[in-house]
Amino acid sequence: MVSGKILAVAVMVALVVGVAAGYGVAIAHTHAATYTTTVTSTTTTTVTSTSVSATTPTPSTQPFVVGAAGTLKFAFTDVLNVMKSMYPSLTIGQPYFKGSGEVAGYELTTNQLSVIASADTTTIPSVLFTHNYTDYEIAFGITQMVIIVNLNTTAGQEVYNLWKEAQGYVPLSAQWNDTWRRIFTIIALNSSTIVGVSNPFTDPSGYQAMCMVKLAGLTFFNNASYLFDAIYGHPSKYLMRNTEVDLLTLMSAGQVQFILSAYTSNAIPQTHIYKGTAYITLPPMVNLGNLSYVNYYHQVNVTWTEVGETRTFICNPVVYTATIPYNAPNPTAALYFLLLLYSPTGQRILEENGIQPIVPGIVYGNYGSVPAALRPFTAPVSQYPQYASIFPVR
Amino acid sequence: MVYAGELPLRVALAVSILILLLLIVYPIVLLITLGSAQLASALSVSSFIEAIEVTVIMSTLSALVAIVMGTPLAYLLARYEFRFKQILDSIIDIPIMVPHIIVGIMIVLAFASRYNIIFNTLNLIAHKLMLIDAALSRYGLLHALLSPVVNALVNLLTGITGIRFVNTLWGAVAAVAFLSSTYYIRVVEAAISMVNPEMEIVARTLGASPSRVFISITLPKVWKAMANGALLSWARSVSEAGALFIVAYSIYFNGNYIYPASVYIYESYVGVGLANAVKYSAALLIIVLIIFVAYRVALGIKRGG
Repeated sequence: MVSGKILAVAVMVALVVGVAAGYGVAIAHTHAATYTTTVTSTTTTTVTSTSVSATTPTPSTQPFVVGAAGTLKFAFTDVLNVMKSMYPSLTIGQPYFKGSGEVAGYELTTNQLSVIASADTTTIPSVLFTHNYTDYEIAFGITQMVIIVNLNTTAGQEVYNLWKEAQGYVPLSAQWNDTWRRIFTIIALNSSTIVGVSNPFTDPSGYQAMCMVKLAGLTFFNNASYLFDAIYGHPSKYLMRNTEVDLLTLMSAGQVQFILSAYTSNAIPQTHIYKGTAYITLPPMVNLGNLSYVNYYHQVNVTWTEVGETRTFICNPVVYTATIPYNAPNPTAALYFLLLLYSPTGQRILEENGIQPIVPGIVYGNYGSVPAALRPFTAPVSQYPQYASIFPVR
Repeated sequence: MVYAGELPLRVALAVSILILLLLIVYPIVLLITLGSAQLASALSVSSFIEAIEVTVIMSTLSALVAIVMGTPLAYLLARYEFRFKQILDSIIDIPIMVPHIIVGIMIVLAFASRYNIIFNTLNLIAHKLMLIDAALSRYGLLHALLSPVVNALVNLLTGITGIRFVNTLWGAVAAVAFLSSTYYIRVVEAAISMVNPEMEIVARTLGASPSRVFISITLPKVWKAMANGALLSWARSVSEAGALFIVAYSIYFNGNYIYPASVYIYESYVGVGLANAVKYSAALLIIVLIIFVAYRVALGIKRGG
């Protein structure tokens, strides 16, 4: 009996302490909120243009965290740096750059992200639309698949030289076709070379690399599964990681000669950092980077099983999309970020990082949910029916 | 009737039990309750079964490493005072303090990079031996006699330096053995120091050799602690993720690359989602608990060894 009473007292004490602590935090929070409100509003009126001050949602003191596909790390870090200098009072949290699927999954469990950007058009609808976290995505840029080669290896150098040769030939000529066949023979059919790829479940470039390999098989060998089976049918032929950015580490450790999960958006900055690596661009019918080849890309799709689950992926162009979730901790900052992306500075940063901006941004989903300030830079996909096929079928 | 002095003690105890329930019991019960319904579904996935197999093999090998390396060390630490004992003691504690990712990086650096001094030296020796062999070919009989020996040596050396550590069972075992041996050593050291040294001394004065003394006097009193320590170190290996992320993200085994169980669950969490990861987490937890209980029952280990 006595111990029961004591236990009750202990629980009461714990409750009181807890409530008191919570109250203390709440007070501190309110103070911080009023302080930053004034600062942010001054900054807004002095620095930015009319489009921003036209909308006045309540600024928030929540840290502004961007979650984006690993390959956007380079472009988005530049944009965030510009943002930091424009809005010094804004708390910018450590951005979360991982595979798009991983980013979307992270948001589902944590609700920490204010802007989410994916390297395909399907991740945001399939994960965040279905769990009711948002109902639109803006396609803001397109990039293309490339192959990163390790120049410190014989196979890597061979491929790089063949690629340089191919640049001199007329596309689709016999010589050109033959050179590309030789390139893909070294990469896929030679059992002594190992390729780095990312995981299709966590990273779109995982299945996009599979699409690319299938399209290369189709284009140069008249058989979509010829190269695909040679690589993905042999566990010792490839090394798989969750994001393509991790693959460069494998390459510098000498474990892979080629990285198939790569875009210009990460290859340009990364081959610059990692000495002894270079990237080769691919023909438009293979590189998933040309909106006029959508129907050609759709000739193939890929099916993959991982952790006991099987999924089929449609081969779409590599389009970057972004959204602001309903419960974004800092929606105002998220809006500033996207506006900055559409500013001349933002567009220049995208281009420098190998991303061709899509202007106006094509909105898939509910156009009504797009913040009013972003409307001048975006249009619903219904106005651009030629792009409808790059988005998931509803 | 409660004495005034007893109240703080009871409050402290109540708070401690509350935290225990909230922090440890509640999450475990929740995970197992939610996951046990899907146990059959998890166990029907062959890639998950493979992951468990490879993890069990890896952890068992690591426990064996702990026994071989740890038993003499534990005896040494429990029985003798010597110079540098403090240093040895600290070295054994290092694995507990080093972040696991760093352990992975150290294993890669030491055994799978161009800084691998041991392999580099062995390769150099093999190279020198081959030169000697070539030089000897001028002397017919001598060459005929020595060549097989030299060749065997070269083959042995290149065989050793040919061992791959990244994404292999070797590397995985090296990483988890680094991390888990300490637990074994500490448990066995404590058990040995509880055995009265007088008995060993008496046996020695009666003429028994040190190894005979260890086998017939000490071992019967500490084998349960050894088994218990091996189990602890085994369990520690099963739960390892951080070092494996670097050394053996997937393990080449039976012609296939297989994720260790912890990496498998991580992949399921980031690739498919929380619900999927709960299914596999609960299954792994249940399997480990069953092995734990069965092992202890079989050995008749009670609490405290």
